Amino acid sequence: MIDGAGPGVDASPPGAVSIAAAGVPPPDPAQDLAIESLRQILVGPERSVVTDLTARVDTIESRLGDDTALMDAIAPLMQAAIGRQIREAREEMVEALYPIIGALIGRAVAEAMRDLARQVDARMRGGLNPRLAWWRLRARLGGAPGDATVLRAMLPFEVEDVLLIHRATGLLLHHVTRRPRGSGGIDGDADVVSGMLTAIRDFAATTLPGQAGDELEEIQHGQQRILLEGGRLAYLAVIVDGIEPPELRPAMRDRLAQIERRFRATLEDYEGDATVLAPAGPLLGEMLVIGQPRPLGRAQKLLLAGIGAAGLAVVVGAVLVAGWLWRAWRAPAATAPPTAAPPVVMATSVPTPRSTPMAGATPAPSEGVMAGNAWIRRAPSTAEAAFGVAVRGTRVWVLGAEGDWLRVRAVLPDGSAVEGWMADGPWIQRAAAAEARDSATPTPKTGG
Amino acid sequence: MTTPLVLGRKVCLLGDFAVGKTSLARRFVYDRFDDTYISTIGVKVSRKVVMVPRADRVVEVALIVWDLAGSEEFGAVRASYLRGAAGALLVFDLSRPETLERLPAYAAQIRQTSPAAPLAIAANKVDLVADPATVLAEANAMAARLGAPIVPTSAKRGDAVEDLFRNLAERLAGEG
Repeated sequence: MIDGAGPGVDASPPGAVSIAAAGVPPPDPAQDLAIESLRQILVGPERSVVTDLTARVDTIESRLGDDTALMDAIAPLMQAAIGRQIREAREEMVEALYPIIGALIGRAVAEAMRDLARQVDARMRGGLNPRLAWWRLRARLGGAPGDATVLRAMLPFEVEDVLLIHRATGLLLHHVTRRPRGSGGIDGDADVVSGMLTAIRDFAATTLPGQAGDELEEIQHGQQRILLEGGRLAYLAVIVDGIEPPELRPAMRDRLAQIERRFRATLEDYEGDATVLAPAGPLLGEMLVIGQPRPLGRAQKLLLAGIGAAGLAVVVGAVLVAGWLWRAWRAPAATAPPTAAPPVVMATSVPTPRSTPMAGATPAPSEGVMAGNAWIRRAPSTAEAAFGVAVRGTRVWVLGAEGDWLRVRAVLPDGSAVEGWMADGPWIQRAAAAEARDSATPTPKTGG
Repeated sequence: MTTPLVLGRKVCLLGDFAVGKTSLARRFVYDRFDDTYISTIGVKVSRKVVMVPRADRVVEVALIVWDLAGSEEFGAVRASYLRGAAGALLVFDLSRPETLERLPAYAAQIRQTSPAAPLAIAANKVDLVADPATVLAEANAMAARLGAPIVPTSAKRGDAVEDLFRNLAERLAGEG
């Protein structure tokens, strides 16, 4: 309607315009210029706006094609928007984020409950195990919390292998193991194992019901388990034996995050050359010692040796003191002479010294009563160990004699009858009949 | 002497049920896992190392071979198994020409996840066909359309299986 309708031209009905268009004369440059001027006047600003918008759309499209640039561009905006929404509409934000946060909280609670169960179980099993004391001592020396160390000691655990695997391809990026190379396990097959683990993860993610983003976290076979921790570009598979300590999972997340930050470009366009990931080895290797007691330092070893030596000295001293006390308790108060010294006679009339501890020939045993205390020995010599004491009042029978020694039978206070040798002396008070019979050869004695 | 460059490459083995994919893999590839994985989760992973000489050094290409089940029941999970593939071997059975018809669909699946992945076609069970010329002519035309070399193989006799993997490995090793 606008074309061909200059100022002052009456508006024509639609039918008239179409008839005029059918017989359009050849273009007139002067008229075209005028029309263009008119266009510029009427839609010029809009044209410049469209040109500007087109340029902007092109920029946006190029940004949309580059994921990294897009993330860089929108990250600050999202951060600011989320922050403002949380300040201004907290309830709505909580409701919107609940499906994500709820799942995270649920997982954290489940993990905490498992830890609690482990600790309770460990305490139950710990009891008065002597190893507890040793572990507590080691914990104190090592500066670690005693309870935690003891709990850890109760739970057998070892990290066997740590595999860093490229998430997209399933290719092995790096592998560290506790075992020496060539000693079995997955050594030599780690790349194939990585592929199968990736396939199993993919299978679980595709076929098992769950929320978006749920991933397989663990595979268990007997005592061994494979703990999986996924990142954006890679994931970790840690083969463990036993129950893992609570610090293992955070350590896995931490190491994985560090590696993804440090090797981001490599991991995004991974070309299959794993040597470029070799510097990640020490980070992964740190996980092999998680849950293991720290080795003692030199000072700690010396302190431990000192404590051991002191303990040994105390034990030896205690044994010596106990021995002395025992001997003192068992020893007679004194071989005191009889209070009323009776006449003492030899038990036999024919003492026959011999080189062997044989009792002298005695026609008949003479009976007597101990007027004091005296040792009974196995042989007629003070070098021989005493095995009993005939205390005052004990009935004795003199069976024979040798030199200054008498072979006697005595009934001890505990009722047992013993035979042995006793030094002759005033501590034996013989019966009157025997005294009369043996009085022919009285021999006063001293000592005992 | 320079140390060989070791490159890991994920390679997928695709083809209809019973065309001989697993037999090809089993014949020349290092196996650790049981074949039952294919019927349970739809894939089994094995390894084939090929040494590729280059002008300045040798490239050791460790092909991590993902042998994918051909049955339809694993169709849903197949896309995730194909992710990150650097190349693919498409296998059909010369004695069953209808298995050739599905190759473009497999090629399309791999192109969807890895557009630049080189392909190779194995015309398997050549030992079972007395006169494979007709089917091979058709297969050659399809191979040309897919931009993939075709190698007649026999997993049973071992014919050309090594050549098949070598062809793919050389293309995956790059220019070196």
